[in-house]
Amino acid sequence: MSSQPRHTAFDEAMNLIQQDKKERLEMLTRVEKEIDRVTKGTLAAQLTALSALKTDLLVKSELNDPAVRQNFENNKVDMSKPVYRYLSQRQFNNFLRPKLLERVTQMSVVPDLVDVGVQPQVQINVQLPNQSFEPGDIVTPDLTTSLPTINITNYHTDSRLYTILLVDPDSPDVTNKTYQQYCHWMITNVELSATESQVQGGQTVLAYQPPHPQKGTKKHRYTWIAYEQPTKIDVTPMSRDGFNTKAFAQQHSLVTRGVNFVRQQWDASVSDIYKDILGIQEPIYGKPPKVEHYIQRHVYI
Amino acid sequence: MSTQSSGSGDNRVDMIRRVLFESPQRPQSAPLEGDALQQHETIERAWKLHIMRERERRQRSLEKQFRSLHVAMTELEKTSDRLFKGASVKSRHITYPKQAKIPTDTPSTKVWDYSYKALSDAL
Repeated sequence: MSSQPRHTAFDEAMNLIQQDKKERLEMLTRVEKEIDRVTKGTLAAQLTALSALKTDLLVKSELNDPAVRQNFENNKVDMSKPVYRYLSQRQFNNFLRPKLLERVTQMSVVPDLVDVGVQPQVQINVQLPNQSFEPGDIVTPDLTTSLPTINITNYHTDSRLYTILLVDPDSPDVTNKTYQQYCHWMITNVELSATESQVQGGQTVLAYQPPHPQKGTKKHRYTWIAYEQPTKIDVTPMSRDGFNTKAFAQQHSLVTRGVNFVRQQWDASVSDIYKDILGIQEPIYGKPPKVEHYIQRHVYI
Repeated sequence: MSTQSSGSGDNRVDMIRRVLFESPQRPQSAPLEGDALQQHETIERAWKLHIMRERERRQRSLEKQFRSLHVAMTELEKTSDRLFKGASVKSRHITYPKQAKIPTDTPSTKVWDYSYKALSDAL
């Protein structure tokens, strides 16, 4: 006896989704014909409207498919397809970006390194060995001794040039008794698109120097910033001390596209970094000696 | 606060207290997982899609009706002024529904008038 499958609500749902997909794809063929017709006539506004409609149809025809949704849940995204780009961007806009902005404002990364009102458009995913972190998490310095792989999740299909740098705004400046920015790493002319998200190639302006929060200082905020370049730029290596991200961005007309940061404080691994990698004497900071304001009077017996 | 701990009354007060303030800890209904969750979400999405399509179909039908009416009225405006005014204005003679029921204390003996015929607006 053959087991007849019951006609469930799920079957009905799948039928409707398939029917909707078919209708949208039919509409898509008509839109594509219209686009071909319009490009010959060169009407810019109409063309953009039609292209928007095309991507909308491509996205919505696949959006309700449970297979697509499951792939996205399991992080098996194919960024060449508009659906996955849409889902990824929506997740970023609704969940990841607000949290990032909250952390970045709370820990004052925003006025210090990045202009107020900057909306991040891309995600900077730094892969630390055996640890995933949220922006602003406290991390041990031994995790960042070697250059971590960075993936910049973006949503544009065309290839654009990016500049990425790692800055520490809490580096001590002894002469001026204040803090200064210290650039640990800078790489320019990196070609990135939605399908090529890993940071590779490009020109390293400043070689990677691992974060080394000095003993006696408070938690340092090690910030990764991703800038979009208008054209290919040529940056001469500058000094790491006294760096100014805003001035640098303005000088080369860079647009801030992504931010991420991590907090670190001194521990024993930093001494190893100083000894092995930096090769200089480890500085130890402390509070200045207390000044006696009041002279003690005689004690009346 | 005086506390009277008498043996005979204790049980009753404790029981009342238990009934009022302690809720029995029942295990929560098992949340959906895996395939069942996927199917549930698909069904929910398909329902919303269905509602959206119905709404858009209704909207398109209404828009079509309005457009055809608009075309007809512009044509009529050019043709005849009197007919146009007559077509655009509803009857001004009936301002209050004469057939409305006045609320009474007790229901009427005649429950429903099956032979009622509404007045047609022949204008």
